[in-house]
Amino acid sequence: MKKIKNKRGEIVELKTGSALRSELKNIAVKDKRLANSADSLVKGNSSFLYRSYLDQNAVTVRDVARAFGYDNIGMEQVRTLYENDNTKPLFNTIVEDGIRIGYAKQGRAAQLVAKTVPIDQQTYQWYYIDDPDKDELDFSYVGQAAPIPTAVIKIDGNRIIRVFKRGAGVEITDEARSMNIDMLALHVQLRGQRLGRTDEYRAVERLLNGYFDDGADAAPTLGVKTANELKLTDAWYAAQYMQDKFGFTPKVAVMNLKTAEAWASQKEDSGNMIFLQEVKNGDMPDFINAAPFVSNQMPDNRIMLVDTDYALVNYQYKPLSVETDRNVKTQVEGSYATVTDEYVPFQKNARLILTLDQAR
Amino acid sequence: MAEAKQKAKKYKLKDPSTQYAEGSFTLSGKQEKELPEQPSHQLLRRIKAGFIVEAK
Repeated sequence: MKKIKNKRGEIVELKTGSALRSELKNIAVKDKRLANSADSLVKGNSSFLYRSYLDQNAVTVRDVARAFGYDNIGMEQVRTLYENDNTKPLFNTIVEDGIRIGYAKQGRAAQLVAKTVPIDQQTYQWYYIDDPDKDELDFSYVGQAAPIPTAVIKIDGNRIIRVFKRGAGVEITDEARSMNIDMLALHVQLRGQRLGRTDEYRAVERLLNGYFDDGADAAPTLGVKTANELKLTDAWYAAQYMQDKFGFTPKVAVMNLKTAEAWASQKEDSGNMIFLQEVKNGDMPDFINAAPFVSNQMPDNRIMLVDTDYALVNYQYKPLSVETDRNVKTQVEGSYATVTDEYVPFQKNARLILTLDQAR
Repeated sequence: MAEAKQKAKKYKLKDPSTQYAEGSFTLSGKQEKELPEQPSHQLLRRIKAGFIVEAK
Protein backbone atom coordinates (compact mmCIF):
# COMPACT_ATOMS: atom_id res chain seq x y z
CA MET A 1 0.00 0.00 0.00
CA LYS A 2 1.14 3.53 -0.77
CA LYS A 3 0.27 6.68 1.05
CA ILE A 4 -0.12 9.96 -0.81
CA LYS A 5 -1.51 13.42 -0.16
CA ASN A 6 -4.81 14.06 -1.95
CA LYS A 7 -6.37 17.26 -3.33
CA ARG A 8 -7.92 18.03 0.05
CA GLY A 9 -4.49 17.78 1.73
CA GLU A 10 -5.35 14.53 3.50
CA ILE A 11 -3.03 11.54 3.52
CA VAL A 12 -4.78 8.63 1.81
CA GLU A 13 -3.74 5.04 1.44
CA LEU A 14 -3.87 3.60 -2.07
CA LYS A 15 -5.17 0.08 -1.82
CA THR A 16 -3.95 -2.70 -4.07
CA GLY A 17 -4.69 -6.38 -4.65
CA SER A 18 -7.51 -7.96 -2.68
CA ALA A 19 -8.01 -4.88 -0.48
CA LEU A 20 -8.65 -2.82 -3.60
CA ARG A 21 -10.97 -5.47 -5.05
CA SER A 22 -13.11 -5.54 -1.92
CA GLU A 23 -13.22 -1.74 -1.91
CA LEU A 24 -14.37 -1.72 -5.56
CA LYS A 25 -17.00 -4.32 -4.75
CA ASN A 26 -18.32 -2.14 -1.93
CA ILE A 27 -18.67 0.75 -4.37
CA ALA A 28 -20.57 -1.45 -6.85
CA VAL A 29 -22.88 -2.90 -4.20
CA LYS A 30 -23.82 0.56 -2.96
CA ASP A 31 -24.87 1.63 -6.48
CA LYS A 32 -28.39 0.31 -7.15
CA ARG A 33 -27.66 0.04 -10.85
CA LEU A 34 -24.42 -1.91 -10.51
CA ALA A 35 -25.18 -4.14 -7.52
CA ASN A 36 -26.30 -7.10 -9.66
CA SER A 37 -23.16 -7.20 -11.74
CA ALA A 38 -20.71 -6.25 -8.96
CA ASP A 39 -18.59 -9.41 -9.19
CA SER A 40 -18.10 -9.31 -12.95
CA LEU A 41 -17.30 -5.59 -12.86
CA VAL A 42 -14.65 -6.11 -10.20
CA LYS A 43 -13.18 -9.07 -12.10
CA GLY A 44 -12.96 -6.99 -15.28
CA ASN A 45 -11.22 -4.09 -13.50
CA SER A 46 -14.14 -1.80 -14.34
CA SER A 47 -12.98 1.72 -15.07
CA PHE A 48 -16.22 3.10 -13.63
CA LEU A 49 -15.56 1.50 -10.23
CA TYR A 50 -11.92 2.50 -10.19
CA ARG A 51 -12.77 6.07 -11.13
CA SER A 52 -15.34 6.18 -8.32
CA TYR A 53 -12.63 4.89 -5.97
CA LEU A 54 -10.23 7.62 -7.11
CA ASP A 55 -12.96 10.27 -6.72
CA GLN A 56 -13.77 9.08 -3.21
CA ASN A 57 -10.15 9.52 -2.27
CA ALA A 58 -9.80 12.79 -4.21
CA VAL A 59 -6.82 11.57 -6.25
CA THR A 60 -6.23 11.39 -10.00
CA VAL A 61 -4.86 8.72 -12.32
CA ARG A 62 -1.62 10.69 -12.57
CA ASP A 63 -1.29 10.89 -8.76
CA VAL A 64 -1.57 7.12 -8.54
CA ALA A 65 0.85 6.51 -11.41
CA ARG A 66 3.35 8.85 -9.79
CA ALA A 67 2.96 7.10 -6.44
CA PHE A 68 3.91 3.83 -8.11
CA GLY A 69 6.96 5.32 -9.78
CA TYR A 70 5.74 6.47 -13.21
CA ASP A 71 6.32 10.19 -13.50
CA ASN A 72 5.36 10.43 -17.15
CA ILE A 73 2.80 7.74 -17.68
CA GLY A 74 2.27 8.56 -21.37
CA MET A 75 5.79 7.44 -22.22
CA GLU A 76 5.50 4.08 -20.50
CA GLN A 77 4.86 0.94 -22.49
CA VAL A 78 1.44 -0.64 -22.17
CA ARG A 79 3.23 -3.79 -20.99
CA THR A 80 4.88 -2.02 -18.04
CA LEU A 81 1.60 -0.68 -16.75
CA TYR A 82 -0.26 -3.86 -17.40
CA GLU A 83 2.14 -6.31 -15.85
CA ASN A 84 2.39 -4.43 -12.58
CA ASP A 85 -0.51 -5.47 -10.37
CA ASN A 86 -0.49 -2.10 -8.63
CA THR A 87 -1.00 -0.14 -11.83
CA LYS A 88 -3.12 -2.63 -13.79
CA PRO A 89 -6.42 -1.09 -12.58
CA LEU A 90 -5.24 2.25 -14.01
CA PHE A 91 -5.19 0.77 -17.48
CA ASN A 92 -8.94 0.70 -18.09
CA THR A 93 -9.33 4.15 -16.60
CA ILE A 94 -6.79 5.47 -19.12
CA VAL A 95 -8.61 3.65 -21.94
CA GLU A 96 -11.92 5.09 -20.71
CA ASP A 97 -10.39 8.59 -20.62
CA GLY A 98 -9.28 8.19 -24.23
CA ILE A 99 -12.67 6.92 -25.34
CA ARG A 100 -14.41 9.71 -23.48
CA ILE A 101 -12.21 12.35 -25.10
CA GLY A 102 -12.96 10.95 -28.56
CA TYR A 103 -16.63 10.60 -27.65
CA ALA A 104 -16.83 14.20 -26.49
CA LYS A 105 -14.95 15.51 -29.52
CA GLN A 106 -17.23 14.00 -32.11
CA GLY A 107 -20.43 13.07 -30.29
CA ARG A 108 -23.06 15.75 -30.32
CA ALA A 109 -25.88 13.70 -28.80
CA ALA A 110 -25.43 15.62 -25.54
CA GLN A 111 -26.44 18.82 -27.36
CA LEU A 112 -29.87 17.30 -27.98
CA VAL A 113 -30.49 15.74 -24.58
CA ALA A 114 -32.52 17.60 -21.95
CA LYS A 115 -31.54 15.29 -19.09
CA THR A 116 -29.85 11.99 -18.38
CA VAL A 117 -32.05 9.96 -16.06
CA PRO A 118 -30.30 7.11 -14.21
CA ILE A 119 -32.49 4.01 -13.92
CA ASP A 120 -31.94 0.88 -11.85
CA GLN A 121 -33.62 -1.67 -14.14
CA GLN A 122 -33.24 -2.49 -17.81
CA THR A 123 -36.87 -1.63 -18.41
CA TYR A 124 -38.63 1.51 -17.32
CA GLN A 125 -42.22 2.64 -17.37
CA TRP A 126 -43.23 5.54 -19.54
CA TYR A 127 -44.45 8.45 -17.46
CA TYR A 128 -46.39 11.09 -19.30
CA ILE A 129 -48.82 13.97 -18.96
CA ASP A 130 -52.02 13.49 -20.92
CA ASP A 131 -52.39 16.09 -23.66
CA PRO A 132 -50.15 18.73 -22.12
CA ASP A 133 -51.30 21.42 -24.52
CA LYS A 134 -54.60 21.84 -22.76
CA ASP A 135 -55.17 24.75 -20.41
CA GLU A 136 -54.51 22.47 -17.46
CA LEU A 137 -50.84 23.32 -17.52
CA ASP A 138 -51.45 27.06 -17.36
CA PHE A 139 -50.96 29.05 -14.19
CA SER A 140 -54.56 30.14 -14.04
CA TYR A 141 -56.89 32.14 -11.87
CA VAL A 142 -58.59 30.08 -9.18
CA GLY A 143 -61.95 31.24 -7.92
CA GLN A 144 -62.97 31.08 -4.25
CA ALA A 145 -63.32 27.46 -3.12
CA ALA A 146 -62.78 26.35 -6.71
CA PRO A 147 -60.49 23.40 -7.42
CA ILE A 148 -56.95 24.20 -8.52
CA PRO A 149 -56.46 22.96 -12.09
CA THR A 150 -54.00 20.07 -12.20
CA ALA A 151 -52.06 18.18 -14.82
CA VAL A 152 -51.76 14.51 -13.95
CA ILE A 153 -48.54 12.61 -14.52
CA LYS A 154 -49.60 9.11 -15.49
CA ILE A 155 -47.92 5.80 -16.06
CA ASP A 156 -48.65 3.97 -19.28
CA GLY A 157 -48.89 0.25 -18.58
CA ASN A 158 -48.72 -0.68 -22.27
CA ARG A 159 -45.61 1.23 -23.13
CA ILE A 160 -42.28 0.27 -21.68
CA ILE A 161 -38.85 1.68 -22.39
CA ARG A 162 -36.11 -0.91 -22.77
CA VAL A 163 -32.46 0.04 -22.59
CA PHE A 164 -29.85 -1.80 -24.61
CA LYS A 165 -26.19 -2.42 -24.15
CA ARG A 166 -23.98 -0.93 -26.79
CA GLY A 167 -20.30 -1.62 -26.86
CA ALA A 168 -17.01 -1.32 -28.66
CA GLY A 169 -13.71 -2.92 -27.88
CA VAL A 170 -10.00 -2.47 -28.40
CA GLU A 171 -7.84 -5.59 -28.36
CA ILE A 172 -4.11 -5.53 -27.97
CA THR A 173 -1.92 -8.47 -28.95
CA ASP A 174 0.92 -9.44 -26.64
CA GLU A 175 3.37 -8.14 -29.24
CA ALA A 176 1.68 -4.76 -29.55
CA ARG A 177 2.00 -4.11 -25.85
CA SER A 178 5.32 -2.49 -26.58
CA MET A 179 3.48 0.65 -27.75
CA ASN A 180 3.43 3.46 -25.27
CA ILE A 181 0.38 4.72 -23.42
CA ASP A 182 0.14 7.93 -25.45
CA MET A 183 -0.09 5.89 -28.67
CA LEU A 184 -2.76 3.67 -27.14
CA ALA A 185 -4.66 6.74 -25.96
CA LEU A 186 -4.83 8.04 -29.53
CA HIS A 187 -6.14 4.70 -30.82
CA VAL A 188 -8.87 4.55 -28.21
CA GLN A 189 -9.77 8.18 -28.86
CA LEU A 190 -10.53 7.23 -32.44
CA ARG A 191 -12.70 4.40 -31.16
CA GLY A 192 -14.48 6.85 -28.87
CA GLN A 193 -15.06 9.19 -31.77
CA ARG A 194 -16.95 6.46 -33.63
CA LEU A 195 -19.03 5.71 -30.55
CA GLY A 196 -19.92 9.37 -30.33
CA ARG A 197 -21.12 9.46 -33.92
CA THR A 198 -23.38 6.44 -33.56
CA ASP A 199 -24.77 7.86 -30.34
CA GLU A 200 -25.67 11.03 -32.17
CA TYR A 201 -27.35 9.07 -34.99
CA ARG A 202 -29.54 7.29 -32.47
CA ALA A 203 -30.53 10.49 -30.69
CA VAL A 204 -31.50 12.14 -34.01
CA GLU A 205 -33.42 9.05 -35.10
CA ARG A 206 -35.42 8.98 -31.88
CA LEU A 207 -36.28 12.65 -32.19
CA LEU A 208 -37.28 12.20 -35.81
CA ASN A 209 -39.48 9.12 -35.54
CA GLY A 210 -40.16 8.83 -31.82
CA TYR A 211 -39.52 5.76 -29.67
CA PHE A 212 -42.86 3.97 -29.70
CA ASP A 213 -43.85 2.05 -32.82
CA ASP A 214 -47.49 3.14 -32.64
CA GLY A 215 -46.53 6.80 -32.85
CA ALA A 216 -47.51 7.70 -29.26
CA ASP A 217 -44.57 10.11 -29.14
CA ALA A 218 -44.46 11.09 -32.83
CA ALA A 219 -43.61 14.73 -33.42
CA PRO A 220 -46.08 17.20 -34.96
CA THR A 221 -45.34 18.32 -38.50
CA LEU A 222 -45.73 21.47 -40.54
CA GLY A 223 -45.53 21.97 -44.30
CA VAL A 224 -44.07 24.94 -46.19
CA LYS A 225 -45.97 27.61 -48.13
CA THR A 226 -45.17 26.02 -51.50
CA ALA A 227 -44.25 22.33 -51.52
CA ASN A 228 -40.61 21.57 -52.38
CA GLU A 229 -39.59 25.20 -52.05
CA LEU A 230 -37.94 26.31 -48.82
CA LYS A 231 -38.10 30.03 -48.13
CA LEU A 232 -36.85 32.27 -45.36
CA THR A 233 -40.43 33.04 -44.38
CA ASP A 234 -41.15 29.31 -43.95
CA ALA A 235 -38.44 29.17 -41.29
CA TRP A 236 -39.83 32.26 -39.59
CA TYR A 237 -43.37 30.85 -39.72
CA ALA A 238 -42.26 27.49 -38.28
CA ALA A 239 -40.49 29.12 -35.34
CA GLN A 240 -43.54 31.29 -34.58
CA TYR A 241 -45.91 28.34 -35.01
CA MET A 242 -43.95 26.18 -32.56
CA GLN A 243 -43.90 29.00 -30.05
CA ASP A 244 -47.52 29.99 -30.51
CA LYS A 245 -49.16 26.58 -30.82
CA PHE A 246 -47.08 24.49 -28.45
CA GLY A 247 -45.24 27.01 -26.28
CA PHE A 248 -41.80 25.63 -27.12
CA THR A 249 -38.86 27.59 -28.50
CA PRO A 250 -36.78 25.96 -31.23
CA LYS A 251 -33.15 25.98 -30.11
CA VAL A 252 -31.66 23.59 -32.65
CA ALA A 253 -32.59 22.92 -36.30
CA VAL A 254 -31.53 19.46 -37.49
CA MET A 255 -31.17 18.89 -41.23
CA ASN A 256 -28.94 17.05 -43.67
CA LEU A 257 -26.24 18.66 -45.75
CA LYS A 258 -28.41 18.94 -48.88
CA THR A 259 -31.13 20.79 -46.97
CA ALA A 260 -28.49 22.88 -45.21
CA GLU A 261 -27.18 23.94 -48.62
CA ALA A 262 -30.70 24.88 -49.72
CA TRP A 263 -30.95 27.00 -46.59
CA ALA A 264 -27.52 28.60 -46.90
CA SER A 265 -28.17 29.55 -50.52
CA GLN A 266 -31.42 31.46 -49.83
CA LYS A 267 -31.69 34.45 -52.14
CA GLU A 268 -33.45 37.78 -52.14
CA ASP A 269 -35.70 38.62 -55.09
CA SER A 270 -32.80 40.58 -56.57
CA GLY A 271 -30.79 37.34 -56.72
CA ASN A 272 -28.35 38.29 -53.96
CA MET A 273 -27.54 35.62 -51.40
CA ILE A 274 -29.04 36.41 -48.01
CA PHE A 275 -26.38 34.54 -46.05
CA LEU A 276 -23.42 35.51 -48.22
CA GLN A 277 -21.35 36.67 -45.26
CA GLU A 278 -21.89 33.47 -43.28
CA VAL A 279 -21.04 31.32 -46.30
CA LYS A 280 -17.90 33.41 -46.97
CA ASN A 281 -16.84 32.92 -43.34
CA GLY A 282 -17.44 29.19 -43.56
CA ASP A 283 -20.29 29.39 -41.03
CA MET A 284 -23.66 27.77 -41.23
CA PRO A 285 -26.41 30.42 -40.96
CA ASP A 286 -28.84 30.07 -38.06
CA PHE A 287 -32.30 28.78 -38.90
CA ILE A 288 -33.95 31.98 -37.62
CA ASN A 289 -33.06 31.65 -33.92
CA ALA A 290 -32.23 27.94 -33.91
CA ALA A 291 -28.62 26.78 -34.12
CA PRO A 292 -28.08 24.58 -37.19
CA PHE A 293 -27.24 20.92 -36.56
CA VAL A 294 -26.24 19.12 -39.76
CA SER A 295 -26.71 15.37 -39.56
CA ASN A 296 -26.76 12.80 -42.33
CA GLN A 297 -29.38 10.86 -40.34
CA MET A 298 -31.94 13.34 -41.58
CA PRO A 299 -33.56 12.52 -44.92
CA ASP A 300 -34.06 15.11 -47.67
CA ASN A 301 -37.11 17.33 -47.29
CA ARG A 302 -37.06 17.39 -43.49
CA ILE A 303 -35.94 20.02 -40.99
CA MET A 304 -36.49 19.22 -37.35
CA LEU A 305 -36.84 22.11 -34.89
CA VAL A 306 -35.99 20.98 -31.38
CA ASP A 307 -36.48 22.65 -28.02
CA THR A 308 -33.52 20.89 -26.45
CA ASP A 309 -34.69 21.74 -22.92
CA TYR A 310 -37.63 19.33 -23.15
CA ALA A 311 -37.36 17.16 -26.24
CA LEU A 312 -35.20 14.16 -25.37
CA VAL A 313 -34.28 12.14 -22.30
CA ASN A 314 -31.36 9.73 -22.04
CA TYR A 315 -32.38 6.80 -19.81
CA GLN A 316 -29.14 5.36 -18.52
CA TYR A 317 -28.87 1.99 -16.83
CA LYS A 318 -25.10 1.65 -16.95
CA PRO A 319 -22.87 4.61 -17.68
CA LEU A 320 -19.88 4.37 -20.02
CA SER A 321 -17.40 1.97 -18.47
CA VAL A 322 -14.45 -0.08 -19.68
CA GLU A 323 -13.72 -3.65 -18.58
CA THR A 324 -10.96 -6.04 -19.58
CA ASP A 325 -11.01 -9.63 -20.61
CA ARG A 326 -8.35 -11.95 -21.94
CA ASN A 327 -8.88 -14.60 -24.56
CA VAL A 328 -6.54 -17.39 -23.55
CA LYS A 329 -6.74 -19.10 -26.94
CA THR A 330 -5.71 -16.11 -29.00
CA GLN A 331 -3.67 -14.49 -26.20
CA VAL A 332 -5.33 -11.23 -27.00
CA GLU A 333 -6.24 -8.91 -24.19
CA GLY A 334 -9.19 -6.66 -24.84
CA SER A 335 -10.69 -3.60 -23.23
CA TYR A 336 -14.39 -3.31 -23.88
CA ALA A 337 -16.33 -0.10 -23.47
CA THR A 338 -20.04 -0.47 -22.92
CA VAL A 339 -22.95 1.78 -22.13
CA THR A 340 -26.52 0.61 -21.49
CA ASP A 341 -29.01 3.32 -22.28
CA GLU A 342 -31.72 4.57 -24.61
CA TYR A 343 -32.89 7.90 -25.98
CA VAL A 344 -36.62 8.58 -25.69
CA PRO A 345 -38.57 11.77 -26.50
CA PHE A 346 -39.80 13.48 -23.35
CA GLN A 347 -42.35 15.97 -24.59
CA LYS A 348 -43.49 15.14 -28.10
CA ASN A 349 -44.41 18.71 -29.03
CA ALA A 350 -40.98 20.01 -28.05
CA ARG A 351 -39.98 19.20 -31.60
CA LEU A 352 -41.59 20.21 -34.86
CA ILE A 353 -40.77 18.57 -38.15
CA LEU A 354 -40.91 20.72 -41.24
CA THR A 355 -41.96 18.54 -44.17
CA LEU A 356 -40.60 20.42 -47.14
CA ASP A 357 -42.46 18.18 -49.59
CA GLN A 358 -45.85 19.23 -48.19
CA ALA A 359 -47.70 22.52 -48.51
CA ARG A 360 -49.17 23.85 -45.28
CA MET B 1 -45.82 -14.27 -56.33
CA ALA B 2 -47.38 -13.37 -53.02
CA GLU B 3 -44.29 -11.36 -52.26
CA ALA B 4 -44.60 -9.40 -55.50
CA LYS B 5 -48.20 -8.64 -54.64
CA GLN B 6 -47.14 -7.45 -51.19
CA LYS B 7 -44.62 -5.04 -52.73
CA ALA B 8 -47.19 -3.48 -55.02
CA LYS B 9 -49.30 -2.42 -52.06
CA LYS B 10 -49.15 1.19 -51.06
CA TYR B 11 -48.87 2.42 -47.52
CA LYS B 12 -49.68 5.69 -45.79
CA LEU B 13 -49.63 7.22 -42.33
CA LYS B 14 -52.60 6.47 -40.12
CA ASP B 15 -52.38 10.01 -38.71
CA PRO B 16 -51.54 12.50 -41.49
CA SER B 17 -50.41 15.10 -38.95
CA THR B 18 -47.29 13.03 -38.24
CA GLN B 19 -44.46 11.79 -40.46
CA TYR B 20 -42.07 8.88 -40.82
CA ALA B 21 -38.58 9.04 -42.24
CA GLU B 22 -35.77 6.55 -42.58
CA GLY B 23 -33.10 6.80 -45.26
CA SER B 24 -34.76 7.14 -48.65
CA PHE B 25 -38.23 6.07 -47.46
CA THR B 26 -40.28 8.93 -46.11
CA LEU B 27 -43.98 9.46 -45.54
CA SER B 28 -45.76 12.68 -44.67
CA GLY B 29 -49.30 14.01 -44.82
CA LYS B 30 -51.51 11.85 -47.02
CA GLN B 31 -48.70 10.49 -49.19
CA GLU B 32 -49.07 6.88 -50.31
CA LYS B 33 -45.95 4.95 -51.18
CA GLU B 34 -44.77 1.44 -51.88
CA LEU B 35 -42.45 -0.06 -49.33
CA PRO B 36 -38.75 -0.25 -50.20
CA GLU B 37 -37.55 -3.62 -51.57
CA GLN B 38 -35.98 -4.54 -48.26
CA PRO B 39 -38.08 -2.84 -45.60
CA SER B 40 -36.24 -2.36 -42.32
CA HIS B 41 -37.33 -4.09 -39.13
CA GLN B 42 -38.29 -0.73 -37.75
CA LEU B 43 -40.57 -0.01 -40.69
CA LEU B 44 -42.22 -3.42 -40.40
CA ARG B 45 -42.74 -2.84 -36.69
CA ARG B 46 -44.43 0.48 -37.46
CA ILE B 47 -46.81 -1.29 -39.84
CA LYS B 48 -47.53 -3.99 -37.26
CA ALA B 49 -48.24 -1.32 -34.65
CA GLY B 50 -50.67 0.44 -37.00
CA PHE B 51 -48.70 3.70 -37.28
CA ILE B 52 -48.31 3.06 -41.01
CA VAL B 53 -51.31 1.43 -42.67
CA GLU B 54 -52.16 0.00 -46.06
CA ALA B 55 -53.75 2.57 -48.39
CA LYS B 56 -57.05 1.37 -49.76
